Amino acid sequence: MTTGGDARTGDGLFDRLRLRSLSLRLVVSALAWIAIVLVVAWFGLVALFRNHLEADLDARAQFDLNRLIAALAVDEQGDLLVEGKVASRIFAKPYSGRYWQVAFGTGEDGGTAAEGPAGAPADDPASAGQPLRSRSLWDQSLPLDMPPPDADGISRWREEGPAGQNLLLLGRRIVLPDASEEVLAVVGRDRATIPAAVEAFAWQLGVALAGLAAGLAIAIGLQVWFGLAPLRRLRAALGRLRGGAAPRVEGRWPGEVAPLVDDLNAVLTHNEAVVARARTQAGDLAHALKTPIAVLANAASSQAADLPELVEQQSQAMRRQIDRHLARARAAGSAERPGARADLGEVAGGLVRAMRRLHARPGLELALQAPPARILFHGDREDAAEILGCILDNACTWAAGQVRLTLSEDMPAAPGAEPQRRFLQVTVEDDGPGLSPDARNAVLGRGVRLDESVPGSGLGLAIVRDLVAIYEGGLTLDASPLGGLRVALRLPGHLETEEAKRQPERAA
Amino acid sequence: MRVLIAEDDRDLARQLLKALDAAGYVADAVANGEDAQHLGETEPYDAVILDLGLPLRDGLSVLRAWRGAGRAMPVLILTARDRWHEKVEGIDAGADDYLAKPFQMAELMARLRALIRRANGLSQPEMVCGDLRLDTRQGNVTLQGMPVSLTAQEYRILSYLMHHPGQVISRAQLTEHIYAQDFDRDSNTIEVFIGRLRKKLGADLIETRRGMGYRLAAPGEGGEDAGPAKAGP
Repeated sequence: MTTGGDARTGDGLFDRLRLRSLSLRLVVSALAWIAIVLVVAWFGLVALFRNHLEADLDARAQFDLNRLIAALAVDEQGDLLVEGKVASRIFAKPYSGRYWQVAFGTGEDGGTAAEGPAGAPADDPASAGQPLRSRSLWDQSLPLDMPPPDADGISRWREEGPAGQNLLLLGRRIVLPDASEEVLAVVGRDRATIPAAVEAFAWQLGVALAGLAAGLAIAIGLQVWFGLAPLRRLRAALGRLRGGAAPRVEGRWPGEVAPLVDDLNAVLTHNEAVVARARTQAGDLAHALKTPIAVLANAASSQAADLPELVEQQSQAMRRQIDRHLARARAAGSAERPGARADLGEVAGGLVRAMRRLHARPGLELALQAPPARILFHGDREDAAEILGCILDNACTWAAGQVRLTLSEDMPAAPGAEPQRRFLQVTVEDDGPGLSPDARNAVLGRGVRLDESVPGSGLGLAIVRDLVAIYEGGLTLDASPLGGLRVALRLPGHLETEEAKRQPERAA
Repeated sequence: MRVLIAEDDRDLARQLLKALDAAGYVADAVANGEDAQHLGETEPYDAVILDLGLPLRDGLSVLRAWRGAGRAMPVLILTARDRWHEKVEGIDAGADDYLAKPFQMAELMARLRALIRRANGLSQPEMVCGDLRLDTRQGNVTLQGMPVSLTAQEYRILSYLMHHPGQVISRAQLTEHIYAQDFDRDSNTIEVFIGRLRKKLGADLIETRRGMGYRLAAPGEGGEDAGPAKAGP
């Protein structure tokens, strides 16, 4: 019991390792995917946020520009004039981060000509050619190398401004009703708030997404643990199976596991059957060998005069039993390969060649009658050779001069009938002495030899009978019109005619 | 009659040699496929007993090599492979007969006799030449119904001649077929044996074709071939 327990824990550990690797696979793959998605989402959201801030700043600058343009006027001298309260307090505070500037023409000379009255109020009239500036610019002017305007007529660019500020500049050329020249109006806004806001946002977003990832990871772990629970249950069931507590894996299983369990149970059933059959066969063989051994032992102790013959006879009997059980064991293995096919015509051809050589006596004729089609036996080629070989050998041994082997389909099935359920008819006839009805039954009943002087006669048919039974065919003996014995076999198989061969092609 | 035994089981090979010797054959035994193939290709055997499971070269390929080289001597396969598809394979490789182990020595001998007879176009186990009868089953010879006692060598020579009725057999040919490979051959001894056979069976039974060899005189044609001097009984 202790050893069994040890073995179980050993296997349990192994199983748990395997299981963990399976869950690990699920968890790792899910986490990797989540990580990718979250990182992409982080980058995407940060970019969106930055775009939003830029757009917002642009909108505010446009508002400033529009207000500036709306306040522009020209006085009687043709000088520019900024009317009204464009100058909110923020435009008055030096280097506040918000600026405006207006000038005639390109304003390129603005830098030098801008010397109005120093510290002039924002709405002071400016003489022609003198740019007007917000007080926040103090003694500086805005850089005016303007790129071509966008679709809305506004030029946008970035430039270093007063106090090293990174400015967003919006400029527009306009024609005032009373002015002779174009007016260039420019507003500037410090962009410094944007990177700071983006950084803060990115950090907060990162924390939030990390939290989300942690939550998802926990969810995945739970899901895997819960999802794989049937496998742990299966392992426990297998443990019980091994311990002998249960003959089968029982219980209700999820749809994915159920087929596995069913297959497992089928294998168990099959194995049981195989073991049982092997046991029976070993027992049969042992019992079959006991009799000749007893006879030999008795004969040896009684010093019988016919000891050599007895040894000969009994060793023959033992050999027959061994042959028969060997043949049965081989066939039992091959009959379980359901897809096996053998060309019976080819097998029969080879056997006929061999028989002509092995029974080369003058006047013995061996005829093979087969339809002009491939004759497919549903089974192992070697078993087919064994069945036909034994019967043909018997027939050739007993025949006076004629042996006839006929192959045909048992009942010509309707086209399209399932080939699995079809049978072949094989008859072997000879013109030998034949068998009386009693003798026929005897031959089929036991591995007896009817004539000890002709070797191998009884044994062969016993093997044939066993093989045919394994293939669920039929074996009958009766009298042949040729005068001797007729052996009729019914074996699973079908004719593959040209028509049948073409059929699936046409369907396809 | 000279037979090659290709069998790697030493005990079985010895039993076969003994049985063949007792039946009046001479035999060479080899225990592997390469030797078997070489001997079969170079020596004129009257039959071969071939095991399939030979070391170095498997029996079936040895047989195929012989047949491929045009060697037509009868071959009997003696093997434990007793399934019918294996027999078909053996026959298709060129075997003339197939016997599965375990076997009875008497059956093997019967099949071997039949093989050799068939190879020479004879159908009956008993060979007749005039008043002379040779029963290959018993290995005995009778002349006008009376048993004749022959030594082993005399029997071999007579048996070989009777297996080839009407053919002229050279001295070299006789030597090749009645001595085993390792025997110190001297074709002059053939003459001695022929002389003894003539003494036991009648002087005109075996004719000498000068420069060609010997020939069994078939009854009725003895006069023509051996000259007109011989009168009837």
